[in-house]
Amino acid sequence: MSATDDRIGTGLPGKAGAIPMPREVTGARASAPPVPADRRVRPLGVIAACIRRDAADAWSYRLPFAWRFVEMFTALFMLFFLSRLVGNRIEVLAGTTLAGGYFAFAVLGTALVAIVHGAMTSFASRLRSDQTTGTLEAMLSTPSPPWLTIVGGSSYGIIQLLAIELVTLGVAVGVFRMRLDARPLGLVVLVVGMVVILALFVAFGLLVTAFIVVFKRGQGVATLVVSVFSLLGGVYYPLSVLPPTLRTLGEAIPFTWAVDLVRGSLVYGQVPVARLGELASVDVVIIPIAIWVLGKSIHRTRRTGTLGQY
Amino acid sequence: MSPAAVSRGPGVGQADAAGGIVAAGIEKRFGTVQALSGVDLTVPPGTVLALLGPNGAGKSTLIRILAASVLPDAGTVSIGGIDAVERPRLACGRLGLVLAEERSFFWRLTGIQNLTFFAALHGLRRREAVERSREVLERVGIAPLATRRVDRYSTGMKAKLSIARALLGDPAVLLLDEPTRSLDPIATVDTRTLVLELAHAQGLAVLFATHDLHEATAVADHVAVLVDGKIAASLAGGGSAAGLEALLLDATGHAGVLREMAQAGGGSGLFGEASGVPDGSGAGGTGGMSPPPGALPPTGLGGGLGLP
Repeated sequence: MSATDDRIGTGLPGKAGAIPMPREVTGARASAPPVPADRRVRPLGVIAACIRRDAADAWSYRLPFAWRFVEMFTALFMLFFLSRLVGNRIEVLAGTTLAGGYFAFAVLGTALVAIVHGAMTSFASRLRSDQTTGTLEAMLSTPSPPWLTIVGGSSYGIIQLLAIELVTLGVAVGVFRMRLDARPLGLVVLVVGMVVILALFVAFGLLVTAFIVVFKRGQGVATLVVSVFSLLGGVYYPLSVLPPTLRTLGEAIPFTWAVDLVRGSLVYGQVPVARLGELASVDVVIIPIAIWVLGKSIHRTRRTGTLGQY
Repeated sequence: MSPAAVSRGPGVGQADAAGGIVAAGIEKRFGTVQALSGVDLTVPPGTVLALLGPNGAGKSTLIRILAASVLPDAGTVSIGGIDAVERPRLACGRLGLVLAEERSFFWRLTGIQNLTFFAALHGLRRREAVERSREVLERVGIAPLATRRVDRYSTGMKAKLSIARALLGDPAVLLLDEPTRSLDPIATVDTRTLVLELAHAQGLAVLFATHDLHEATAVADHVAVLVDGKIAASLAGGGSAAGLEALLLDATGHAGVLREMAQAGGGSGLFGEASGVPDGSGAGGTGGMSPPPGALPPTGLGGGLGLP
């Protein structure tokens, strides 16, 4: 058998002794389809498709929506009664005045913790879900880059979280009479600030995701980091109640700056531009690093063949 | 000359395969395991290559490399004329991947919601995505199920949905990893028919990994046997499953075992066919496929595939 018998296939001749092919396979029976024009993947289109997909998926589970609202009311009631209990005492203990009272202080702190936790864990959760259901491999065989499917896949979760926290604030103000003191310019800074804050903690989330992509475990890292933020970031109490060392640490973490920005804009009547600048400067450094690290981790797992594994 | 050695050179069909699949010198090692070693493969447009091999032979690894989700340690891969190693995302735009994993869909979404989502990952705008999704659902014959949730699809319907998804990007190449593994005979025939039509009428280059020798003979224009990460044998399709069985057993080094079992108990062939295993004399119903030289005496195992 000569090598020319093998017109299709491995480029091998048939195994020695094989008879020539019995039917005509020496060429394509039909011409190849026209190669599609190079279609560009549109990142916003992919993110929008991910949001539509997850909204439809979430809508198929209606009960969790109800749970989230019950959870929200429970948390608000708890903080409300806690504020009545500690009242002004915490201000005396901390040696500071909490404009808006302890209720507003704690509601804004916990809302920001929830948002930051969501931003940091949503990528890893989505990746894990796509790995276990087998959808990740199907998505990886499309022209969309892996980082985009990961980022897009967590967008709905983050949007949902922002919406829930916004409703929470509305209920806190409308039902629990939370006192706000906000200036128009402060609100502008708040809106811009929330984008900057989200970008910052999304970047942290991408770093956690990169860790998980390579090591397959690590979801707890984000939760641990958020716990540290809660401890040092002044979520439930002013930093002034902390020992000096912890207070210094707390003042150095961006989460504290984010809490300051939100409280300053909403209850202290401030225009916290300085905090906004600090957070934005961290963004400029951390976001490129996070994207680079995630890209490297994905490349590594393409080499090891473990991207779809968990 | 061994097939592996021959495979180092460019395939004769390669010139025809520029718009299909061209893989050359693929090497892949996972830790101490050499998963693929010097694999050359060409599948021109309009043809089907059946990829056979025992479990662990490297079939899935090869498909993942062709699908650009795993990087080879060495070698080149061209998908529809695009270098899949250097430009994986662009290459993915030219291929459709059909997985045996029926859980690769979002089960609580409808068929068309799933397809519309995946179409967006191919760069289609929303309206285009919906139109294209309807088109491919029609193409695979499950358009009436478009608005049914995937968790209410049968396994056969999911297999068709999987092929529909693979067609979203108007691919030049179709990679199928055991697509009929859990299908009933009717759904299996439907799937094969569809694959053949896609290759022969639409001109797609199709690589079809399977363990089913009957299926391989039914769909393939050409058959390649992968053993221990190497192409151990290669021949034109159109023969019988028994002939393929003989080739596979010989390629996997099980011909001797088969002979011993036959001598001990006799039987009717791995497929229940009379003397499907060749005796080197040309008899034995090997059809168009040739046995390896001096491989096997007339024998049988009394049923059961018995592959490693």
